[in-house]
Amino acid sequence: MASHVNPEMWSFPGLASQRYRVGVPENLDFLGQLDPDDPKQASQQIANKLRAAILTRRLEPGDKLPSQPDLAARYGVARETVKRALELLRAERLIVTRQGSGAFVRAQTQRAVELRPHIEAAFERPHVSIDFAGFSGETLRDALAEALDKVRVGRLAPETIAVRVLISDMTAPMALPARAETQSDDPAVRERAERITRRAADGIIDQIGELGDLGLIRSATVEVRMHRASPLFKLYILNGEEVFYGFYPVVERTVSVKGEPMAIYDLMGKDVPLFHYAVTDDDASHGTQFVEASRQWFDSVWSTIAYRYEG
Amino acid sequence: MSADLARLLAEVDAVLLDFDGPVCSVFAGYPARDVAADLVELLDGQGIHPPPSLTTEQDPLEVLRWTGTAGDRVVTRLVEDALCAAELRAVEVAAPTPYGREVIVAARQAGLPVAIVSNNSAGAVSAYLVKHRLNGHVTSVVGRAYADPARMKPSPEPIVRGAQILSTEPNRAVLIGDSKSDIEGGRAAGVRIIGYANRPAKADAFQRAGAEVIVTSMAPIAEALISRSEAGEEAATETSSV
Repeated sequence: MASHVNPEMWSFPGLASQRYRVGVPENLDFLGQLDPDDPKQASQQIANKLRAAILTRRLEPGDKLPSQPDLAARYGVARETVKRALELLRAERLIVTRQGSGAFVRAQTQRAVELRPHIEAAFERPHVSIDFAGFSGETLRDALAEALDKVRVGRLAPETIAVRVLISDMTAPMALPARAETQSDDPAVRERAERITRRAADGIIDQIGELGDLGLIRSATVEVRMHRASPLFKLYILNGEEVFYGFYPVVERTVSVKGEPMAIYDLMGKDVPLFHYAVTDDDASHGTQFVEASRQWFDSVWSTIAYRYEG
Repeated sequence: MSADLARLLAEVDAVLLDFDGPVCSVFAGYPARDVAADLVELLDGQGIHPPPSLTTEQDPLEVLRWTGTAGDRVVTRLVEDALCAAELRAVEVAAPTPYGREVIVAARQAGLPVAIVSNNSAGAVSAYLVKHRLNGHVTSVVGRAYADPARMKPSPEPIVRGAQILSTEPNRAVLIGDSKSDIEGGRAAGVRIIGYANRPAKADAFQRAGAEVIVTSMAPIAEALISRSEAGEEAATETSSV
């Protein structure tokens, strides 16, 4: 089944669920003209103008871009040049292209800084690797579920998938979560956290395992390891070349623990901003170095103080 | 009872908390009668001899109250200063009330601002809140008016002020208190009242004084507030998913 689907056609699987406006905005003067004195390539110049229009919201999420022939005519360039410009914007995830319909400004969601589309994009590679370090992997589980659904129906067709999950062992005494009154470890508080951790880890193991069983991909592996350090941040490493990093702020909440109200110091995982770093051509760039340091950190913990999770 | 509690809490926008009792036992580690005895001794030193009933007084606030009615301004200030200093020492070793913290934190979760309205000095209350990392959850502290004990609860004044600071009409605020002066002051201020009967004997007196709801533990208040905040979250989710 999978071999019948052209992966390019489904480059942006989220498209089907998003609503796009049909029309192109009427007044396109803001797209300007090419500057003959600009040493940059025409495709680069066109991409810059479209990018500026998108980032300043003159082209809004969901708007249809002018057609390739229209853009070629406006800028007086070959259609191939326009194609290259759109390819640049597509790579930056600013637009989506739908065969036969044209290109659209990507509908950005405000939440969770685009982790899901990046995970789906990671699945466009033949060999997918995802490393996660953090509290429970709940967000990862949900994001994976969507990507894996698309593998099941053949919209995404990687050859191998390798997922590593590195989480805190909530059966061990921990600084966080903690009982607020005493600022100290409390087994009853950890029990609650352990249920969440376990559910997420088991969910990820089940998902990847089921995919392996279906025989859709050559190899699907998942390994969960735990350590005894408190969860203070979350880190996703996608295909070894992109990193998403976010802090878990500590919040105090009254929750029900074994039927009694208890004020606890808890970590706030949802709705925290994620910072995105990506490898670039430049070895000295901030992105390249952050990704490299993240990989090193992950591997160092993975291969030293971390131990196998017994599901 | 718990239905009454949930209904009452659903009808208010702010929480006023008495301090000694609902939040902590101020003189748990530094006995109140020792403080009271020190204040009586201080009066003696000034040539003022309180009635025999006061020499066996267990509550230093009652010594201050008497001084306000009998002594002159200078002496009242002396007693006030000594009491403030003693309270600051006492809150260092005060015992947190079971589930008191839970009520404060759960109130914030439910979107209800919290003010402390106390007959103790504001300085001592604030010191306790900072020491226990609760200051971030409390909007304001209304303490005892300096050297003016007639304005302590049961005067409605500090209670009305607490509601004002939280931008709430008194009838949209609830006062949680553990003494008759809280209930009486609350009635006069026109706020809703939960009596915290930390000793069973108090329950009847609170009933007679006009407390709407009486609890013997702070836990059910925290539980009712958690339910209220969870109901709020569900409503918010439903709205945003439309």
